[in-house]
Amino acid sequence: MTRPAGYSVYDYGQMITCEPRMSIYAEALRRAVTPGCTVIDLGAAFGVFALLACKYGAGHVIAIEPDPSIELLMPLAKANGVADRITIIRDISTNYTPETKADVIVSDCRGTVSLFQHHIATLADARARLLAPGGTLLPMRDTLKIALANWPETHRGASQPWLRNKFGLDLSAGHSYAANVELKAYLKPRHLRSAPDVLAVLDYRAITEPNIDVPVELTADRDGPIHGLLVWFDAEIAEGLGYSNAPGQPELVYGQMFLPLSGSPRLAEGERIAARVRATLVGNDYIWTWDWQVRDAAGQTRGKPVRQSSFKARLHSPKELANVSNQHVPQLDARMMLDRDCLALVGEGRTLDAIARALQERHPEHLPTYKAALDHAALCLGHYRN
Amino acid sequence: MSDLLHSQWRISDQAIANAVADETVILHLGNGTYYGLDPIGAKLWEALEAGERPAAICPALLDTYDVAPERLEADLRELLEDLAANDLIEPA
Repeated sequence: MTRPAGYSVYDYGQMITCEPRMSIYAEALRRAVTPGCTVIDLGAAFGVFALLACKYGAGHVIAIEPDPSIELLMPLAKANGVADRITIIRDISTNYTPETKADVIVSDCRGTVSLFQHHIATLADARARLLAPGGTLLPMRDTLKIALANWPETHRGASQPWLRNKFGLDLSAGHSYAANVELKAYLKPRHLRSAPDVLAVLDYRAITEPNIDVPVELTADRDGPIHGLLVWFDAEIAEGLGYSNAPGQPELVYGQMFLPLSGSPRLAEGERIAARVRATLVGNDYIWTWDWQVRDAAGQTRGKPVRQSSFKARLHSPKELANVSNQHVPQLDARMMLDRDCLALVGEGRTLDAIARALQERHPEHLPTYKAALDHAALCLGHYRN
Repeated sequence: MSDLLHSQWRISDQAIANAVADETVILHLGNGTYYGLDPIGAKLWEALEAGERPAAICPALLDTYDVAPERLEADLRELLEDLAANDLIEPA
């Protein structure tokens, strides 16, 4: 499981006050935890679910989190008198092998939507390896929903700076990138222009496939421009306990995901957007792709089909692109050579001091001082630290 | 089989292209692999996206680049074969 860098303790505080999310999770934990049971808090951050599990009677709680935020848990556990019941694993959960399986696994590793980084694979692995037979997974299920949306502000934001500016500059080359940026939104019911459709049901008790590829057809409920597709999720943390980040519901930390429609097609009431929506995990992140076309009320296509993708929103330098192409032939450069030697020295069981001195001795042209060598070794090994 | 340069091709629905400057990178959604295209490859891709036959871009490329027609056509055929073999394009 991975978590984007940059969450501060302030951000984590916002998650505690995010309602009804937090109270629903707390109630689900209270119901699931039995006296003396084992709980895993997966992607624990600073471990608020771990603390709650202890409060509700868990005998042993394992908090798994690669981020440094987990360092806050032990002082908090001591302050709450539960330090002796908490084990901290500062790693990703897929590296963790349990001594005993958990009766309850609680997590919230979502981003704006539930398809976020390795969330699905992480939960599938946890379900298979870390959860005792008959154990409880919290959350239980998310249902992704999608609807047409009218959000003129974002349309202007994606087009005006690039197509019209008061400085007389031609910035139009930036427009196609801006028009493919998936945005975080907090839209209201008044922004919706169709009834929602189900995009995917993610049942964490069974799911293994991280990607979705779904056709949807959304019918405009009035005349006017459609600026994008809005995606949100209804969460079922446990049976009868859920919340939603749908328009009209209390604003949650997740927000909603907005996929802009290029050119903001104008639809008459009864006309539709027929779309194929794909979320594909590539590396650590999802690529969202939405192929779409307007259909009239009789189902006849109008205009050309359009393919949009969050991949088209990314600006890469040609060199960077070449480096990820399968035709790329990597060349050993000085930094790679230093890293190679550094890692080989690690294999010899040396201290960082000894590694730095050996590196400096071997590569004085690149590492002229002990400090430079020490910094390089620390930076190199930092890639492998949790 | 008709000549690759005069055939009609369509972009695979697994291929997403992103052009930066005069180069293009293609992502195959099915296997998560990136493919880089140099400026000539990028021109070819642009033509295929527009529904043109590859042969249509040869005159402009010969005007732009100092290359013999036979060499250019051979390179484009090879690239088309590569793109098709990697499921990035398919016969229309």
